[in-house]
Amino acid sequence: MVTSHESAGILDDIRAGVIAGDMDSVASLTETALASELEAKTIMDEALVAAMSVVGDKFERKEYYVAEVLISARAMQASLSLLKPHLEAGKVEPLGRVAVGTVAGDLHDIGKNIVGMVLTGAGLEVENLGVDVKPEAFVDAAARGAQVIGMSSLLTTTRTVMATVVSLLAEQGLRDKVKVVIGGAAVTEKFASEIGADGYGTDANEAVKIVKSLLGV
Amino acid sequence: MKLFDAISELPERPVLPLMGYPGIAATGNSVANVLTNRDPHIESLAFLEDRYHPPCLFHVMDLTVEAETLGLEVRFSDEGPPSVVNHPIGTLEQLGSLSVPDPRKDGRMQLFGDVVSRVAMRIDGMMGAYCVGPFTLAAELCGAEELAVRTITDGGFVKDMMSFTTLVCQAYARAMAAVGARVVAILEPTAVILSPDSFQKIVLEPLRSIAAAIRDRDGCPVLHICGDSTHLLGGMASSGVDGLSLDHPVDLATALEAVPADMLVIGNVDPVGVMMEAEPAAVTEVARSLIERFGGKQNFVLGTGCDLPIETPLENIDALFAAAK
Repeated sequence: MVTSHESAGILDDIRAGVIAGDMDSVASLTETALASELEAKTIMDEALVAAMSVVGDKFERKEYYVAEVLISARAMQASLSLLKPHLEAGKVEPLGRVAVGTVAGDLHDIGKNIVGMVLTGAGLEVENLGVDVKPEAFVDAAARGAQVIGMSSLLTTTRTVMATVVSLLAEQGLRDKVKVVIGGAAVTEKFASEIGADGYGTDANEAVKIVKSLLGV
Repeated sequence: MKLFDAISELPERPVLPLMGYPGIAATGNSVANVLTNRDPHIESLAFLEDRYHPPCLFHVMDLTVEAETLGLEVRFSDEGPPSVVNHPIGTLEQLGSLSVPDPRKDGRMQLFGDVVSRVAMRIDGMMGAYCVGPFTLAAELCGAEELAVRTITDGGFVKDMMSFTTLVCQAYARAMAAVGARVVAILEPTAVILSPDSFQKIVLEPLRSIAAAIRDRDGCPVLHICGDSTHLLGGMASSGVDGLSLDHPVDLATALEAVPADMLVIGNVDPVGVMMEAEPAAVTEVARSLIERFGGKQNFVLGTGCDLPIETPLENIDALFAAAK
């Protein structure tokens, strides 16, 4: 059994490791923390989510840029994949479930991936549907329980897919059960409101704020 | 002659939109057809030349020409720009298997060079060509996310990758200037993800050497980075180019302060929110407001923040040109 002093130390180290983007040390510290019977939920909330919140602040203050956010997010993911079996066993509910993807015809992935990682770091469960995602796949994700559908488009010729997804959700009777948020260089606030999306954001930090506010968490 | 001097000699206030795609729509061609065949490409440029007589007419933008010539798979679309499908160059060994193409003979580099040389001879203004930037080409080869991570975790790989892509970009940009492109715009959108420090360390010298290659053949180098590149303005201003083409999130007042007085700042009407979605009157208003604010600066050139979407109404491009008169 670890003392509270030791457990605070290891949580500090994991947090610092995520902020620094040191994936290997974060993974091994997470294993040590689990072996010393720290709760997975505690590690997630007090180390990972706390660290990604710092990373998000640094991104907003322009101390961190995309590459720095990516390596922090990868370190966080490495820890999270070790925590996941324990979280599932303990039936810990995530803050909310989000599915993100780049719409059909569009192969840009980096912006959507960053949004997904930062949402994960904020304590949400994120399903990354990938790029070139057909409208039906977004609808299926909603049917599986996603509470928010996040769509990205960098080509104006593909953004119409977003409108298709919104109408398909309505046809399937799912529109009231799911929030739709969009982003990417090809879309605007005006377009978001035209297609009946619930939110539009210009970067990953905005995405977190919008999703959390739509979910009321 | 620097681009600043060439622009200063024009009788009217110049307008430099990036507008190849609306020309494709206006001539009823498909994008895939234009980007893979000389004559339809020339036809859509001829349409834009006849309608606007721009001070500089660029060919249709295609960021996959270099990557495809290097052997990467490209997916074309009838309506929109093509994309690189896979990013298979993840190791130094795979990188070593690539060689610098000959732009006079290889792939669509040769095709685009042919378009540029023919169109350059028949237009009033300057001919403009594009070449992809070395960091963006590197991202196409190994994946943008992978490249971003490796800028921090694997500097050796990024250095070797950049050395190779710089040679490719130099060869292509130099060839474009040699066949008649008076202006060569280096398109470096992926660099927007970098910190100012990484931009200085990784991208600046390669850009300078590409700019020098363009000058070697009497071309004027311009640098375009999409999105909010405000944090990179210092580096961009010292990249050895004649002008910066800046996207709509950048405040041009900040940009004009960051560059020397003879470096052009080209921009930056929002291509989607204004040029594509708004009415002509709104285009006029935004363009006039830019002219009002920055028209007193000799190095300000009215343009669009980025390449215009294919759905952009021609009336909106008309309004942009008219606003400068």
